[in-house]
Amino acid sequence: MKRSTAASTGSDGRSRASDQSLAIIQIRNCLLVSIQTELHDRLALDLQEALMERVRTAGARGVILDVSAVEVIDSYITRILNDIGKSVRFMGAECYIVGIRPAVAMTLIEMGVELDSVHTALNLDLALERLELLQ
Amino acid sequence: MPEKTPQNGPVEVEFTRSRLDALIQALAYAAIDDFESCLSLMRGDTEGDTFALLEKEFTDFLSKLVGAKKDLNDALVQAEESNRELESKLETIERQQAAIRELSTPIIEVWAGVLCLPVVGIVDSQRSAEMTETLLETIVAKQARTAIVDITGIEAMDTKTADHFIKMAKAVRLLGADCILSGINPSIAQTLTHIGVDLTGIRTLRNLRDALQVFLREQAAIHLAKLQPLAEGSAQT
Repeated sequence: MKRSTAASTGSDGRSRASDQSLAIIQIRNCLLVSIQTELHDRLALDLQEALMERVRTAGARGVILDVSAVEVIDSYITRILNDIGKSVRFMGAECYIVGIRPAVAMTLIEMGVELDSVHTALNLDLALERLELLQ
Repeated sequence: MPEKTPQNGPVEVEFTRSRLDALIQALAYAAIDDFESCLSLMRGDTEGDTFALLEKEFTDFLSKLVGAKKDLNDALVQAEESNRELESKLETIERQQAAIRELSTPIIEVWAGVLCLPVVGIVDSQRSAEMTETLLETIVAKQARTAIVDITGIEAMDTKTADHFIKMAKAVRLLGADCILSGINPSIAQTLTHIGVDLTGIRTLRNLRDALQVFLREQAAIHLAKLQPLAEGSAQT
């Protein structure tokens, strides 16, 4: 009895997490994800998985993650972002992180965390411009 | 016998009401810090008995207390005065520090999308943190693509300062803008080489003019690259 309730809450939690998943929008041959909530670990991992699949099916040349609404990026999220950058590059695309907040940038630098497997751009427009130039 | 050993035996003391009253009154005055009235009370003629001795000792004690109290008061007044002076000086220093802080991060938009931060004077961790913060916020506010940090005004640089600048450049790049370091003088160049600071990923140019020129040349190249497909398209049609 106890086990079954635990399992049901567990599945509930998982379904809630998948409900919250982020929308991946395709523009021409770029994939755009605008992250409007706080990035927690589960969400980031789900995003990574979903993105890889979409890059494969859509044959995207660029992936743009807009983090202008994200106020906290910790070392684990940074690792996931780096991982996304690397895997995307293996699949022949480039990954741009867009709109990192000044406070977030300063914190990352102070922590000594490098975001070196992805490109960064000030805004969506510049990222699209650079991706166009690459092709 | 009792007169010879007054410590052991009972002592013959002549208590008069007035002397006792005077003593009590004097003590009362002393309690409320009115030492003048107290001393004037005790200046009565003292005869040679034990009570007179007590009175004398009491008077001596009182006059010493008065002296000590006066010294203390003087010292207090002096301390207060110097304290006030110190406070006003501290206030001035604080005001000046705020003024310096405001003056220490002048960010100039030298071209559309190009910010310049000339650095003059000593860079400590607090100042560098403030510089970085202001620079990053200005980059985001003005959506500037390039930030030129000009350190012509810095004569010498140690490892810590170099580290601050590298952190600043990295933070700028995280935002998606380019960071150019310009105006490194020979002695700083030698120091940086000597202490083995890693400047990879940070562009260094001779002066502000060169930095601007490089930026403009790159913008022109980007423009050309954008125009090229259009030109090809029109040639084909």
